[in-house]
Amino acid sequence: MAAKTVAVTNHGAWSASHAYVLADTVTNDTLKVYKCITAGTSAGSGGPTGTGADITDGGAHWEYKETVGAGYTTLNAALSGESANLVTGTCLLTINKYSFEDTTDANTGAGYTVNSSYYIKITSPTSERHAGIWNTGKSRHKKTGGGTWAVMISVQAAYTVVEWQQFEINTPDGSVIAVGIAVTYCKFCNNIVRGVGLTTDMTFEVDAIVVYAGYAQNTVIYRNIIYDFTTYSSNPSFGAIASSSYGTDATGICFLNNTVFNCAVGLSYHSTLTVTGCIEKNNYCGGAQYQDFYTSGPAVTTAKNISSDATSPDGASYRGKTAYSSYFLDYANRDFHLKSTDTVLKDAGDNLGSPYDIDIDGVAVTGTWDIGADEYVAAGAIIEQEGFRFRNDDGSESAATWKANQDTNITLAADTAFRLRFLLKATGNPDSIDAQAEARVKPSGGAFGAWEKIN
Amino acid sequence: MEFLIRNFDSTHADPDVDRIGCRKRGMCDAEMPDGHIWGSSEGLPKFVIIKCPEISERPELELRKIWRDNFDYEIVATRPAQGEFDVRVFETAQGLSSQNLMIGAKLTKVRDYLLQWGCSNFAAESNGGSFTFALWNAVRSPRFWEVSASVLSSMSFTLNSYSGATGIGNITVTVPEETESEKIAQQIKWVNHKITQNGGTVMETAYPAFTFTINRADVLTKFRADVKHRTERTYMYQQHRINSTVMDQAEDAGGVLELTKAELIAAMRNMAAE
Repeated sequence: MAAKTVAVTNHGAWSASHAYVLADTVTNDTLKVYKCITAGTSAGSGGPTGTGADITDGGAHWEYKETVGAGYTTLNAALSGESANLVTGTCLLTINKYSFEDTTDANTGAGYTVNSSYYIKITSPTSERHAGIWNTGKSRHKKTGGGTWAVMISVQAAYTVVEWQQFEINTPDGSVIAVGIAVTYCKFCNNIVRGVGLTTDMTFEVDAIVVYAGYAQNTVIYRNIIYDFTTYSSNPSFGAIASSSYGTDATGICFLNNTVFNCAVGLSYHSTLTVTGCIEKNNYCGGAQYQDFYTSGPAVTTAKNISSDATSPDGASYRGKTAYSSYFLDYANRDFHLKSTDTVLKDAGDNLGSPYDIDIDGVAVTGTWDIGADEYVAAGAIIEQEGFRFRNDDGSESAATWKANQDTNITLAADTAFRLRFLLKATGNPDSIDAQAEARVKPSGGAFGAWEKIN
Repeated sequence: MEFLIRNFDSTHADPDVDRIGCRKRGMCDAEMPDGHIWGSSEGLPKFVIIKCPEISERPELELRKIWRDNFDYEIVATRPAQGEFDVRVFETAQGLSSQNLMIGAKLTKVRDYLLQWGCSNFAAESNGGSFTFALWNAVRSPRFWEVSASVLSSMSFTLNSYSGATGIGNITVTVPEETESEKIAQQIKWVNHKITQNGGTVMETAYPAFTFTINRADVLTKFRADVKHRTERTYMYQQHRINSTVMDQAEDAGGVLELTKAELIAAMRNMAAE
């Protein structure tokens, strides 16, 4: 076994005569995953089978997604059920989380044996991923309430990857992702992590991602969007923090190309005594109640970090960048995609290479890197042919008269010149595409000739 | 509610990691409303499902509750004139058979953290330890300011006054002087925050000097909360689990067993009570 994929769906095994709604996901037909594309009540028996794109099941219709090795209804159950020695099983375990809100706290547990080849990857199929802005129709996790240090995702297995997830937390004291003792080489990337309803008078901090320095080493946090971790009356909340309660060292804990906004503290190396191999590059932190960047110990290796306050470690030219509406499409509604007109974050980063070159939209970076989780890509366009209309060759390009109504074919005498206009409707940014017009003629009784460029 | 209960043990060679991080047979992995359609792999042999229609709220039984440290403190002696307290810190969630005492490595970590608050005279006890907490030492400690020792060494402190009667100290802290205006503003914001976070009141800012008052009782309260928050850890992955007799019954029943609330409560092993 070289790999095993398991699915986490909101409905488990397919159920007969059940009212399914759009986007429900089930397993059936020997662990095939199906997604509901037409709401309705399922048949009395059987359920969807095969690999079609539109499978009828009573009143419901299903789209086949993938065939997996196991099916669960919470991430936590998947992590529990698959606990094993992945190394002896030569198994890369991929947990594909489908589009629904999972409210069960999850823990990898310490029951896994892993290495750099065989580890846990918590992810989502491409169709179930957010597109760089919070999306209630995609895979997401939510936590409300909880006690002391309530943790949404506890990572106790080395090499764990958490990617393409959306996390939302509203708890008076806790964190979204906490990396436990002696847990190494984890990656957290392309996630959206947000606090909701966190008030400034909560008892303790609520952190987005906590990596315990001194224990959890060589962990990289990159291309995440983190916002609204705002509690600070007692201890400030952190967007992402390499933290040590005991003042120990930090090795290889890196923050790369993250966008962090409106947290009490944005990115932090906290209470660390010695720092080895820690890198902080290409991050944007803005709107912090206290500090966008915070290092209470020795400096880490930094470059191209931009802050809204005076805390960027990379000098005055990287500080005080508060014109959020000129950088981001709609920061007030937490859309942190870069604007085409931005001149601060766009093309201002360092090239950090693979695997950090896949942005929050899943787009590979080309050219000069931008700062933050998003890499600006000029929007493409959808082109539709809307119509055509023949004209007489009786004037200039602008003055020629119409020969017939729109979308009407014509009959011409021999050796008659004519003009033709055609309408193209673009959705998106037509300036982002290049086009050339070509035509070919089919003579009466003959075959089409070669395409010729129209000048 | 319906409960997804694990039907096998995970193990780890390190007994501490095994206890803290490994799920065991009988532990609960998910709680769902009645009628939940479980996944095709959420059943035997790895799981059983226990149904209990009498329970409607997810956290009612705390089946998934973590067994976590819960430190407490006792003031042994007070010396108002010196602004000092002799304090005991100890574990209250030690378990019926004292499985989780504050001893050994755990006590060492707590002691090390107390030292970062400027505590002194630490003496180990059978469950926890005693130490001296002094206002003047605390306000000059790296933990009060959350800075490294090297940064702290560049700060200076002056005790302007202290009243043994009220317990209020008047202190001036001087920080390394910055030249950039934005850095200065940031520094002022942070120093003000650390003072107020720890129970003090800023009286005057004459950058790079800040004068503040702080009450020994207030900083002691903040200190105790901080130590609890920063040093308490998980002792066991979950405090409760379904006993093996009921797990066997669930297996024999094909992996799904319905219990009354009373039966379910009776089936719960409280590991802290054994």
